[in-house]
Amino acid sequence: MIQTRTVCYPLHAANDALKDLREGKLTGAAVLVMGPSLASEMLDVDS
Amino acid sequence: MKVMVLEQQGGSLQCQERPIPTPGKGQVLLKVEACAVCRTDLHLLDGELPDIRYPIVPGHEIIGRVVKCGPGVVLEKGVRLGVPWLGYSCGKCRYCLHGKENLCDQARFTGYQIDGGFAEYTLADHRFCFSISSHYSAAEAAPLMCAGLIGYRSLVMCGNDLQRLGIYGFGAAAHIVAQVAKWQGMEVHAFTRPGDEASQRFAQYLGATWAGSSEQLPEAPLDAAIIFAPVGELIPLALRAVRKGGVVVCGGIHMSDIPSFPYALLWGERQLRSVANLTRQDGRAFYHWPLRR
Repeated sequence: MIQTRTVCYPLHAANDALKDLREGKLTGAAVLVMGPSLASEMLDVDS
Repeated sequence: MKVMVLEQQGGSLQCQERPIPTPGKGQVLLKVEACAVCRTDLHLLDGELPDIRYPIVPGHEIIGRVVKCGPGVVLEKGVRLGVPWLGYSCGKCRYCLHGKENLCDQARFTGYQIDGGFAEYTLADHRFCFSISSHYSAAEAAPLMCAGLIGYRSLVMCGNDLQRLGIYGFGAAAHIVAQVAKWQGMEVHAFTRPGDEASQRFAQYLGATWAGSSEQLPEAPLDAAIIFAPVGELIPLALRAVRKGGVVVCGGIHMSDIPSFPYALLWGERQLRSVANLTRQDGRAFYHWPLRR
């Protein structure tokens, strides 16, 4: 089964996700995640 | 609802409040669960694509659940759908009638001409949505909607009977297509920016036979190469790396200018081609694929 490697960001951090993508900092795919279910996996730039 | 909006070229996204939209005929209203971020979104921010509709909500790798259906749509609330880049095609032109709706002159694209998934809710034409396996979380599934699909279409464009595949640029699309290629029995050769050891290690973790700098040549010629990095200078490098009759596929929507190169690099019936967008048939072919073991 194909597995995807993701780095998750909250919606309001979309600019940070784009910046990380532009700077080549990501391994895999950046994903904006809405809602609380995956909060523990997120990179929250405000925290 | 909250949306991230691009108001003009060269700007950053602005967080705005908007009313939750009402689905029109043929549309579904989706509560967005996840939306992957694509290099195309950077090209959008940088104004490198033509005919951008401002203001625009980017995001074309959407996983969401049906909240409400417009007239003519019968779907249960809560059904999970994926929304890809292709958001509309006319269905009547020579391209649409011959299985190439990706080339339709009237096509419109999610997060480009149609507001996309950098939002809490979004609208989509239900005819262009895909069912998504419950084996994936929303975040895991989102990159399949473009990175996975464009990678898959690029691999198909490489032709049959491939043993040695090169991939230039090892990001979101590459990390998915490398797994498909491995499953199909190919040797994967991953070419990254010089010194990008993290991406090279990642490629090898995913089973790449070799990983190294894009300036290097493989030990033996490749049968085909896919270029995901938006760097025109990679085209002569990739042509140099493929065998006679080999194919070089450019998988991105935008690329920097291609430097001149000697005809000898193309000679020997090597082919150079682009891959544009996707068709719904691509989706049907690909989205059952990830569950094969």
